[in-house]
Amino acid sequence: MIRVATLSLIRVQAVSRFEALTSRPVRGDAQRSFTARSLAADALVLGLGTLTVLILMRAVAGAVAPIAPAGVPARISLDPALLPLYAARSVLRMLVALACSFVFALAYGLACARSRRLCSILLPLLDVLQSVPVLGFLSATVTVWLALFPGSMLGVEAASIFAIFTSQAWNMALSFYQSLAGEPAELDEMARSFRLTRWQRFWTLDVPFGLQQLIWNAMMSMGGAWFFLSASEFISVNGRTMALPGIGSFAALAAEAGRMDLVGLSALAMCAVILALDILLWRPLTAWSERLQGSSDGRRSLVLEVLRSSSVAGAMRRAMRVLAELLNRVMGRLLGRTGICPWWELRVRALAGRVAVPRVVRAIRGRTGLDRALGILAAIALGSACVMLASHAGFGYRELGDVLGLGAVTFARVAVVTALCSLIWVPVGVKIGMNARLMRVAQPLVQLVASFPVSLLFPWLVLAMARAGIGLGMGSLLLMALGSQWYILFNVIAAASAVPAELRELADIMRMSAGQRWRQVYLPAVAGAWVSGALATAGGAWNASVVAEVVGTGANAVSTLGLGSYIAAATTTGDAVHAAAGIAVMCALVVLTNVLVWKPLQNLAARRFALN
Amino acid sequence: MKMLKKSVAETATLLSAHNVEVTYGDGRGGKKTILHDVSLDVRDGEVVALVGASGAGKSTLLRVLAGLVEPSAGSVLYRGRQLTGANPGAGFVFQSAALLPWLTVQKNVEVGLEARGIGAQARAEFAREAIASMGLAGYEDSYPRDLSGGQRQRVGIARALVLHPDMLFMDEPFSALDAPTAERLRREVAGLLGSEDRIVRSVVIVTHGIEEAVEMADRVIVMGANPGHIFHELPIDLPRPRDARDPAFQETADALRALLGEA
Repeated sequence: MIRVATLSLIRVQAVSRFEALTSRPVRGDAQRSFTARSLAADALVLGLGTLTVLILMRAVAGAVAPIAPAGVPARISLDPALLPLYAARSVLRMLVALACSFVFALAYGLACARSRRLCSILLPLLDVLQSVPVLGFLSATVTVWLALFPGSMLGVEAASIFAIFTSQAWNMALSFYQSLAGEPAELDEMARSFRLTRWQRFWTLDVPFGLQQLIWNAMMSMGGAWFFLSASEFISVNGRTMALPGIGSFAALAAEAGRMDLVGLSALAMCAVILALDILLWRPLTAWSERLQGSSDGRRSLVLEVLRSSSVAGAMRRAMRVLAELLNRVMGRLLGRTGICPWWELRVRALAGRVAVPRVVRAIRGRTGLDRALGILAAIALGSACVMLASHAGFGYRELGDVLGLGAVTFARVAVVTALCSLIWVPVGVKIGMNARLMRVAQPLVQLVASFPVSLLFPWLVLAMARAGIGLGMGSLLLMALGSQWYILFNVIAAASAVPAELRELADIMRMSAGQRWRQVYLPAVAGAWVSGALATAGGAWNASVVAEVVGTGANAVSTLGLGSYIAAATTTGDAVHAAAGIAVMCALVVLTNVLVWKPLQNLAARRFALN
Repeated sequence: MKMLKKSVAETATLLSAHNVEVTYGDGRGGKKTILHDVSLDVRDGEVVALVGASGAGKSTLLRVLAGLVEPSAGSVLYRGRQLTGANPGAGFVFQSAALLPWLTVQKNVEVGLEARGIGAQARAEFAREAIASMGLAGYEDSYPRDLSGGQRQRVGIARALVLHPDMLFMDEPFSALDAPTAERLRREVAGLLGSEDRIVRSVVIVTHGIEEAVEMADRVIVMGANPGHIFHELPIDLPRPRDARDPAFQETADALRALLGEA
């Protein structure tokens, strides 16, 4: 019944938009008549909105509660009736982390794009940050979060949200930077020759231009963050165990208790959450951002249509307009114009001019000089860290050698995972991307599947593999691949769908054989996308190794030799030296492969296989 | 009346470039010279056309004059003051129109007004007027995707003209359009520029079309390549409105064609 009502709603909306286009004097929002349908939309929006707010408030109340006298609980109730509330708590955490990631990505990406000098530091830093596993961030900062909010559960919540943030933010920042770097030259020149204020430029050019990419990336990144849900909610670092109410904790504790039925239940709850988020959040957002970009036949979203036909949207738009006008004035004055120094920068420069610049600083100020200096500094830092570690009590050169050996083992696993995923998903991705009808069906489906945190089911999988006689040594390959394989698939689908029709027609008209097609048309056309995808997959596999090489906690824990399980063990017991050593080796390996393998491959792909 | 205006106009120089040099690093430590020793005055009331083979640096020179590209050496003075950043008296029309796809026609035209801190109501009024003057009344709330290429370029022109700029810079404004559309729009713009009560004082236009240059310009700058330099200046004194079938028009066009062949 509701479905029918909303569908006819869309039609009315479409008609009224058509009228707005064709009839000269356009009716303003204020003059919109209150039809039964717009009232229904209002009721729907208000009802759902209130419900959402009530649920979230309930979740917030739990999050800000004081810590009980017994301390932060190490377990939560396994009562299935509590699962809806747990789901709400997990979603709340995810949303807060996502909001923080958005703000971070906008700021970081902007800084990279606007200052070449900052960029030469910030961009490599992203590589490093991306390679640090979630557990590393958690064990390094958890005491800080607890100290920030003494006596309140908010400290633990903050730690958990930060953990989620760390599995989203870096990727999103990179995405926004790349969008900004790819802005068409003419739009940039337009902004400068029309002397837009910096504030105006950011909101009318930069953000709308990068938004679609950023939202897509946020969607992917959220999938990646769900993967570490258990690790970020059931915090087990530095010898302490803290359980926050949430689906991830529920699943982890259920597995520990050997209750596989409850693990299954949590997976079901997760499916519901992912579906709900897709309908209520991602579909409207992607549909809206696609419309922003000017495509008229993009995705449709029921929620967006209902929102648009309700008067809530109009009221919000009017309020935003007033606010935007005010902000434009204030911030425009404050930040100055595009391409012209703002007053405070002139002031700073004048001050800096008065201070005599040491010759050394002047010498390394040149760009190449700065890069070289940075490289030398990084090398010195790394070298001294190694020496310090080696001379540290309880950690000698032998142990360092052992860690490097473990690194080699996990490195091999990551390489195998990346190769296998490429072999499987490149052909599938090309097939999907080249077929418009298949793509319409498959893409949203793949997206949903990809955002499901398979890690919840790891205990099950390990059990099943043990029955089949597969140890975790081999099995961890599968577990690592399950979380990270999607990047290749998504990238290849996107690239294949962007192959110009003329190239495919050429293959047809020349009567190319299948082999020639793949060799000369399909594979070169998706090569660049494959490199980006494989790079992300390898990175994801490195991160996943921390939860894939050791599965479960307590008596049910199964683990295999590798750098991931080494880091997991060290962070759990709070052995800072060993944890730092493990994470440093992982960072070094990831960054080295980036520099030695992926960057050259990217350059090659850009030089030889770019389609334009 | 017209004579008087013209003689006054010829004395005042709006924009002057002196010994402009533009070089880019070629990424391997070497340098590539795009423009070499270019000096050019744009006088009040004048339409200047830049023509030349591709690679002659026409677009770069236009961007130097508009303050979008900083010259590596030499200087550009607008009304006697050295440019620092974008030329404050400039309106710019891009080859691809460069509209923001997420803004309506109205909002696109308002962009520059908003940057100058004009209030919402006045903005809306000015923009509506400019849109109507380009023959797009009724399209205020359309998005660029709903418009044809010619309509988009009209919006781009309206966006520049609404600011009542001193100078209008146009970068091959008609070359992305199909022939009949380009022809019609060119006529219209030529009409706008030729009228007595025109909005802009001076125009600099980059073009590939010989007839386009002869129809619109008071002076044609022929540029040569490797590196880009000014090869020749051709004043055009034909009376307006100009007719391409006029033998004098054809004579001038042939002269220009010959110059382009030599450059």
